[in-house]
Amino acid sequence: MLNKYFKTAIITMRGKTNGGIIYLLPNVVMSLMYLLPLMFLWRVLAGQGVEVGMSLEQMQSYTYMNAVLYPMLVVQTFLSRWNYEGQAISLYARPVPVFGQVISQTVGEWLPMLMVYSVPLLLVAPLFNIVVIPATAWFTPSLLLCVSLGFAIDFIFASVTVRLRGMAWLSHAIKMAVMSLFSGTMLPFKLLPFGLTKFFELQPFGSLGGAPLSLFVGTTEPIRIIPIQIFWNITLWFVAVVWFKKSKERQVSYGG
Amino acid sequence: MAKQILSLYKLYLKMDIAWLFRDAKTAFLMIIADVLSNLSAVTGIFLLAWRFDGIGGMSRHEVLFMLAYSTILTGIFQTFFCGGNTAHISRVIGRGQLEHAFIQPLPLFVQWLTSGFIPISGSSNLISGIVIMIIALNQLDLVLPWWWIFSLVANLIITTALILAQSYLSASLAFYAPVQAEEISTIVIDEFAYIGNFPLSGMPKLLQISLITIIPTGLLAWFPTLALFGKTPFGITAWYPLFFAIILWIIALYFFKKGLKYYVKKGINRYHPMGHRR
Repeated sequence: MLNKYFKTAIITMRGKTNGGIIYLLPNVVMSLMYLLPLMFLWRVLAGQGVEVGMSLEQMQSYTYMNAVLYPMLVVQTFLSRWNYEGQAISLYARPVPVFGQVISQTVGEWLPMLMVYSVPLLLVAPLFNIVVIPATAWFTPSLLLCVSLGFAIDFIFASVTVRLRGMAWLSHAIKMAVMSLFSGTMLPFKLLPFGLTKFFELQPFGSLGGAPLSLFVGTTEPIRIIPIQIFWNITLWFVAVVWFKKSKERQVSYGG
Repeated sequence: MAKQILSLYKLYLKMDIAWLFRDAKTAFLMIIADVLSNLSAVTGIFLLAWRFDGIGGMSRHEVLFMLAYSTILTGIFQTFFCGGNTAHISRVIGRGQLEHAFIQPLPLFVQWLTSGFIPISGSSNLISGIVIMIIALNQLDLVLPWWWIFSLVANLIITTALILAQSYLSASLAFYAPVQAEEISTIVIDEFAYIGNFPLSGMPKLLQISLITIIPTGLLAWFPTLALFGKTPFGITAWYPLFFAIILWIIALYFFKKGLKYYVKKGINRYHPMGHRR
């Protein structure tokens, strides 16, 4: 039953590398460029001696694992783009459910970068004294809940794109702006001033990347994170399924 | 030529106003999206600076000034070069749309200098950046000489030129690999701008030097900020970004022209007869 999704993922993965692995190089370079200054920024901040409840090792491990797992921590599917380009309609012409296709194709898109960037990054981590072993086994279920919620949120934003008559860039810009700050992938919630930590943990985007990363480095308890992630998964998947179905008839089939 | 450029700016101003009034809801949402995108990028760094009482020797409000500089830079860039993908030129090349420019009775240079002008819909970051900078300067309580504002404007022009040079240099790849490199300008502009928000003060010297030479993201906000406060890194001349921009433009023009020659011979055919891109 899952074979068709597996095959879809493989086809998509091959599609990403048809032009050769060399075309992934700019993405790898950009990702490394993003990682390096942030790793050193933690060193600078730790040297300032302000007690923030996180050690330098935890901060660096947090950022490093964010880089390794990034596509999974803030899920971005092709759905909004395909809607804009008039290709989303083709999903309905295939004998596989749309949700399943989008998820398997997105996972397929992750695979090349996971292989050429994330795996090597994990392998060289010990050379830089970066801890890549999770502080708790609850990290794995939390990561799965994070990925699941990421897909739900992306389907909601895809519905927004449909409602905005295909303005994919607009919904993408708003989504990424919200995600970059509220998902906790760039900045651990523990480091926020003005007592914002609790608020950021409770809002729906806080159950994305920031949740599993906090468990990975051991700066929070599973009991504080997992129930909130389950709650947002149930709520937002319900919204995503209902809204996406309602938006189906509004989709355009002619893009540019 | 200056008269022609000014009349084109006037034309694009009219078109931008017309768009705003024709579809105010969309225009408003676009402006909000722009502001949200940029503010979310700078807010994280400022929250860190606040929590740690400054970063690497830069005070909280010096960091805020740097982020304001970065926001104004984004604003200028969006106001003058974000219409019609003139800054994100790899999209135009990769999509095979360069012919659209060839049939216009204007030199490419004039078209690209003017067709990106969106002074109404693109100026939201410019305005919010100016407000943040005034707040930062007010908190810094500095006594600035009369010419300081001219120095600020000159720095902003130079850094805008730097971003454009990086975009056009990377976009040269799109002549050879139109599909794969279609978005390379966007990646370079966005990622460089994002990394450009990091204050490099206190970081290892090797990293600082790398980020003002090999990958010049440090020249987008950090270096100009320190230069404007009279604390130029490594005692280098404050004119360094200008020299760098000139060299980068020479390199960018060389590769862009080379790519253009290749494009003229080979062409790029990305469109199906029905209008979809391949």
